[in-house]
Amino acid sequence: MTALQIDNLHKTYVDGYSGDEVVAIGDVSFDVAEGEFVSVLGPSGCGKTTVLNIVAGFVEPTGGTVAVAGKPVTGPGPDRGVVFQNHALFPWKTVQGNVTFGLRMQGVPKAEREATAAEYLRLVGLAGFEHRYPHELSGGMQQRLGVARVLANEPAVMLMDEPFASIDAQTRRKLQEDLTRIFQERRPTVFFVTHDVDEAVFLSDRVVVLTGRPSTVREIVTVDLPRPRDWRSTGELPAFRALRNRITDLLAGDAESDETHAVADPA
Amino acid sequence: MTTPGTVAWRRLTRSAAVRTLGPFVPVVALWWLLAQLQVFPPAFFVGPDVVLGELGGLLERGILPGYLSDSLTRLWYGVLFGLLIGLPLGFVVGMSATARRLAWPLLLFFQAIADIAWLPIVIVWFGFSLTAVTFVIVYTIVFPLVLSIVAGIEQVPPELVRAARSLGAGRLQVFAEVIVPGSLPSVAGGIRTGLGYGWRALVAAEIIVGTSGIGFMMFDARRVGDVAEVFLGMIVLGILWYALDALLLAPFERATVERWGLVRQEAAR
Repeated sequence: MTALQIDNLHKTYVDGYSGDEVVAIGDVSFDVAEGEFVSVLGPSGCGKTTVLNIVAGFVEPTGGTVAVAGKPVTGPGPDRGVVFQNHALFPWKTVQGNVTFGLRMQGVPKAEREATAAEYLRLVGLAGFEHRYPHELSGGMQQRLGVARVLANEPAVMLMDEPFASIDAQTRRKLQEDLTRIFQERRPTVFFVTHDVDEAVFLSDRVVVLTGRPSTVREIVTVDLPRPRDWRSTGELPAFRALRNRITDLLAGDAESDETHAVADPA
Repeated sequence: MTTPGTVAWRRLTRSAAVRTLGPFVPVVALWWLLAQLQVFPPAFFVGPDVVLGELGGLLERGILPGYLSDSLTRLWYGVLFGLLIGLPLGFVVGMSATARRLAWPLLLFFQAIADIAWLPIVIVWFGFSLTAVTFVIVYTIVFPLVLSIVAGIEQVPPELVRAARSLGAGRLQVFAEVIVPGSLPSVAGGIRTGLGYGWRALVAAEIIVGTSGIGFMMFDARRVGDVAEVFLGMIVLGILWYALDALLLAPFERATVERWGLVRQEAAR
């Protein structure tokens, strides 16, 4: 079953200062199957976050369609929970208040939401922190909470926008392992945006490699590494390295063409 | 080094009374010294001892408590109506682009007319009454409050609104769950600024409209040349504001924006 379907997405916006039209997304199409982990990878500024924002319903596309479970996307909704790079937790709510937020918005009774919350907090390793406030948690714990808050809402797709980019390298590895374990256990559908090649290969079933702006799909790379995965063993596999090198080359090819572009057009 | 002496000193400086009153010790000492040395003629500048004596006399005659309650009643009415008008107005102007376009020039225009500048016409309308004073206080409170609420709403991170929307919150829920608490630091600041302005406007209004109250007391004392009473009035104003802040505003902020980590907590707390 296709959980998320993106067809011929196109986005231009008008630069606020110069008034120029900028093409952020040229033409992007791909699907995410139910229970599949798909990463979108591209050079910085290529518009991968814009693709996520359109899927989330935060930004209107200028062309193309996005459908989640067959229904076209018209605005933000609880079927597409977002994990943000800067966590975007509600500082005035406790851990518990954050995790139960989505269920409360849907009118789920208190006892039921608290049971669900307890389950997902345990899943991400935050049991016992229910009554803390987000600012009392470390960056890694905050992002675990961000993941739990979305999963507790049981969305059709979990959208993750460079969720570990602002977290220190060691914690990031741990969070990646936790995420792949959670994925293994629950099989949510995940749409993951990153600029980290290792991260994309480690986590994903497929990696969508975008070109520089205006972005198009350069290639969709299938990652058929065995699960469960962890850094110690998966990271050592020759297949892992081969995939990583292949994707790095795909991105590097783009960087070169970017440079020639820059020389031709200094703007 | 933690000798017993430094420990005792630390314990002393940590106690609430010392932290509150400590900074005033050198000020009062300097004041006393200036009065004692008669740097200024004693008819114009009296020492703390004389002011303390004045306080005793006014308390005994019941004048100070009476005036104090008059001033506080006026402030209470002014603040109550100021908040009742300012809070909804602020959120409407902050949330609706149309309302803001319509209201902004008006807000800036009327903000520029100082509270005191309204007094002549207010006295014509309402006479020397509680209504006149309340009007001026309400006026002073509303504008800083509205402007801070608008600023506060703008400061709510757009990502939090997005997060709430993608978790299924509707517009009203986004307002109640995200916009209101998210703008609270700025709103609390606006209330504090508004109250401070209102307090000043109250005293100014009492001086001009004066039939009673602390402002009236001070101006009346000036008329008969009672410098000690003028000094006392100034001190009472300071203490009252401090108490208002310490008893109402600071606990509110501690329970909300500081608890949530929205503003940096005072290091010593």
